[in-house]
Amino acid sequence: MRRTLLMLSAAVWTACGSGHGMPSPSPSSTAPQPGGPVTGRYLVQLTPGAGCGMARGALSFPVQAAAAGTSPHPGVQVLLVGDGSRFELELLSTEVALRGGVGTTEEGVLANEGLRVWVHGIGSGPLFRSTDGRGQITAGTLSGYVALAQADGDEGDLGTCSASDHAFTLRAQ
Amino acid sequence: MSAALGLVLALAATSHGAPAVMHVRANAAFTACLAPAVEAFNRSSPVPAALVAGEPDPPLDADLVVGDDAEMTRLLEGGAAELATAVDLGYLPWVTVVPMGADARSLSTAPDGVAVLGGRAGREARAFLGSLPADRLRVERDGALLGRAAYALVPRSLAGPGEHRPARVRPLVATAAVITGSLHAAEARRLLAYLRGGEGARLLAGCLDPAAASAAATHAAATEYAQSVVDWWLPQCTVDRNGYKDPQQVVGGPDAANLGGRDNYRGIMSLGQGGFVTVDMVDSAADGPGADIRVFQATTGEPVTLYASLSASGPFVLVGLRVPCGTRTPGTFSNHCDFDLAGSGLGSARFLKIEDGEIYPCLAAGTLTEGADIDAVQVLNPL
Repeated sequence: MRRTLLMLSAAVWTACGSGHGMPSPSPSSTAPQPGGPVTGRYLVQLTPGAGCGMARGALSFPVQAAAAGTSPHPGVQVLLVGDGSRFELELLSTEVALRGGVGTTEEGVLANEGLRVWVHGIGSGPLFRSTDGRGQITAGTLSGYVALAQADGDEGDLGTCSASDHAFTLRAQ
Repeated sequence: MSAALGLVLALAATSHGAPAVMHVRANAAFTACLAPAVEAFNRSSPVPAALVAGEPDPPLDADLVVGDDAEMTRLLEGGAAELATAVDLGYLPWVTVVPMGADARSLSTAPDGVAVLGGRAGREARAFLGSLPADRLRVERDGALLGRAAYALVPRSLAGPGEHRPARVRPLVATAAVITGSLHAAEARRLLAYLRGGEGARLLAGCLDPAAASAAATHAAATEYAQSVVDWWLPQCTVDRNGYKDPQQVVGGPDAANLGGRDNYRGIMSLGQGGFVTVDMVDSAADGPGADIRVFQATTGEPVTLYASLSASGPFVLVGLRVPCGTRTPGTFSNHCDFDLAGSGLGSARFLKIEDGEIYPCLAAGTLTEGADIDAVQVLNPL
């Protein structure tokens, strides 16, 4: 898997730096660099997939990330600020990408936007350095189950969708 | 408390005057099926049963719970219910309810929307309707209200008047188990025995279907099972908390067993929150007739995601996403789920990556077997 992710990242990086036979421009100081440690405060954003009948606005959650384990692959644990056990991400980390489980309990989790969200899926995406050097995912996907409700509503009141194309980001704060 | 709601409440008095009642808790769909049988049981039982409609987890004051796999997983794995007493009472298919003669697309044009069962038992049905605009759905836990809906996707026991069309949603499995430490454990076991045989079973048969035809564990050649592990990963949280972490348990044929008591197994690898194990089948699976690959998973139907590849280093292609892995396998402790390479773009596959599909927060889990519990992987259609 690590080799695959490295190749994917390299392909993305190559595509960003050279296009259609044109001479490659010099690397800009603002061009995102692959990788970066994932630690500290982040904002997770989920956007339901295109085929889902639910509202498609982004749902965001403040989280705290920290390295977690090294064997047989390094990991990163990302927890909801305030009550980590309600919304937990356990991600396998390569030098250039994250991938792993994104889950909520039966109670769901309240998004910044005021909706309650239930998630059971696999989030993934390439890592690029943010302005402070930490790694972040700005264009990832989540495959799995997403259900929405009003803050005090029942699971799925505002829609339920299992799909492979939910959008997923993990941005440094 | 009407019979139509499937609520049977019978009270008796002990010699001390306190009520001696066995509490049975079942989801709304199963309550409708259980009510006649519990009523008949109460006519001859010294300790009658009070049947209450509600999600079995948490069990509250219940002595016996009846729920679908999706509702029973945490009860059985966490030890709140006794795994040794768990029995399947039957299967309950889903139906789409529409007015008589309505056309095939009528759900999307239903004037008052489509009613669908709430709670964990209704998750797959709600996802089945996922492409419908959310404002067309009415999520409802009350069986009586579901029964009055002109358009609905419900377990058959909750279907009201109108035309009932089979729905391609996994049937609910009515699994019953005695709650650990129940004060009425003996009576609960007696009710279970009644429901499984004689008059009780006859009364249930009018509502629940017998077990679907299911392939027994085939006596396949050993070479049709996973031969070795090429990669695996568990989150550190899972490593710290789970009890069954050896990826080698996935190699070879299904051999998982519960050794009695809580969290006491052999032969499984619990994948925790989103963990995976990648195996080399050596003898590749081919895209043939029907299912090509079978994954054996212990206890209820925790979902499994499967990816396949021709190479150990990938790329791995998705074959099935979060497939409920609870099809019963006669003669084998583990349940199973089947996967078809058709649609994956692969004509064959040697390397299979099995990933947890339950994806429940590790820190909130509270069991030693969190995540899908993988027993074995089998090629059904060899190349």
